[in-house]
Amino acid sequence: MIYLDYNSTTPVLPEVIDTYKESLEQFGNPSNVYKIGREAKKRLEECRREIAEIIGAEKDEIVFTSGGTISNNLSLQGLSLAYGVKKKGILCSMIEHSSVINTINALSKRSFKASFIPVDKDCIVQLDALKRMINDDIFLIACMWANNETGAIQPIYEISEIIKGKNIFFHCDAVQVVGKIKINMKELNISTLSASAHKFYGPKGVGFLYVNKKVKLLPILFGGHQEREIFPGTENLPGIVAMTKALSIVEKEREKEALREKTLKERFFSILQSIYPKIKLNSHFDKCLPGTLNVSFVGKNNSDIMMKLDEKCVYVGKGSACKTGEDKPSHVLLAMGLKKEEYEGAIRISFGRFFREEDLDKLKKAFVEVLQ
Amino acid sequence: MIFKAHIEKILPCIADSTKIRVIVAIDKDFSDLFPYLKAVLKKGFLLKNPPSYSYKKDGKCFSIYRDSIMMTKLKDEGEVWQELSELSNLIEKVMNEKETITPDFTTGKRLSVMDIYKYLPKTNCKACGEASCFAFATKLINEEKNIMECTELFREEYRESRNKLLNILLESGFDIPDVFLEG
Repeated sequence: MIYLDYNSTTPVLPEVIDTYKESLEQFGNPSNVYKIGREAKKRLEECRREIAEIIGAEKDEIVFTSGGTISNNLSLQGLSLAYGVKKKGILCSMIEHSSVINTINALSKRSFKASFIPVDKDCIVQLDALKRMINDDIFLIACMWANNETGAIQPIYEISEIIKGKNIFFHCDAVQVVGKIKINMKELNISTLSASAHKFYGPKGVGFLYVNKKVKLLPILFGGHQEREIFPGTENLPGIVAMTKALSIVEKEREKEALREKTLKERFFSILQSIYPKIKLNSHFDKCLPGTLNVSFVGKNNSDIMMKLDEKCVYVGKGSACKTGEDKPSHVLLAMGLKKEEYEGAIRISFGRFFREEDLDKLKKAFVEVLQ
Repeated sequence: MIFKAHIEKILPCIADSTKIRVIVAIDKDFSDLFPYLKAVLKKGFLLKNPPSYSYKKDGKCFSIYRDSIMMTKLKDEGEVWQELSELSNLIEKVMNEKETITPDFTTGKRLSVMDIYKYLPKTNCKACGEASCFAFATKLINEEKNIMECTELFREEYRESRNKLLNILLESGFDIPDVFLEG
């Protein structure tokens, strides 16, 4: 098997599986005051501190959740309920994940006024357009850190600067970035930031939401007092412990792994160019996640390519994993202005830790046969 | 192929002189399958008299009649035979799976440039690279542009017209960003 869809999900690291199994035995409820509850609470808070340190945040700014989609919902709805009383305007990039756009669409039906910020041909948010779109009614901006389909890294620092002093909240979906790019929340003017463990070699069903200490989210879920009442319910301690372990491992090896993946990506793109000269690169090498390669095999159909690769046990992506299975065009590639024959032939190849250099030859052979 | 075909005429394409349009005679009548083809492809237009089914694919236009097929915007004769082979496969698949397909007898709406233009912002902002919204509508109908290239339309003030236009385009078989479709 050659797995090249790490932007969709990642295998859980063996050390993380061990940690998870061990943590399952620690069954105490962190909300209980007796010993096993206190021990569970202690471990929970140690995880919170460790994750906060890795992303340059304060411990109490980390809210554990069940993943990216719930984090985006908690943030966008929570911010809108808390701060969208007099002001109603929301700006959202055109290339957000469906969990963001669909939440914004739902808010639009509840008196909020959403406009979508365009991107350029490299899938980067147009800052000039963003500046023009900001008016006195805007209270919230949503822009992902890196796009899941193209890997394009967004001008998060510039957006942070643009909104400084404007009383605008900034939600950033960083699901594709955590563990791949250095994050220091102290350098950024971000209100909320979402992450999901299964994108960085942790288990599924667990993630976290950074909530700046000056920001108050109104709850959209109701229950106990856990997780600042933003995400109530008994904490998924084994998942949180495993997520923390995964993040600490990938963070230690982040720079080395990023360089390795970028080198592999560039080498493989050269190989693909030699196999299929009509290939089009859809993400700029220098403004992109190190391991993400989105290319169009112009004149080919991406579903056909995927199916043929599948038969050879080579797994690549077509776009957002949440949309594959539906044979519909990617809103991200449409927003970039790709022509029909370009987006119909687009494939996302995302490298990760378990892809080895020696697999490049096998991979080349598979693509040669499929593209014939 | 499940039908015999021969090319009757090869003419230059009206919209693009570098391409060709062809009329191909066929020896079988598939008109009873037209509503099934429309249901499977989820796009196109049905006409009752004479019976025909027209649809677009990859910027090319196809019209199937009782005894002929008209195709436009093709590169060369090689592509004609390739498309005929694909169409034959599709018709064969529909014949085999007919019992499981709910036929779509609706006529379908053939969009005009005005049908699209009336929902555009009409600001002639040129952000799409075209000189006017009307020029953009023309390119959109020819599938040379996609709806997301009209970035103005994705501003709050055009929410209602955007939604209407997305639905119209979807019904007519155009590629749209379905994540922006609101209920």
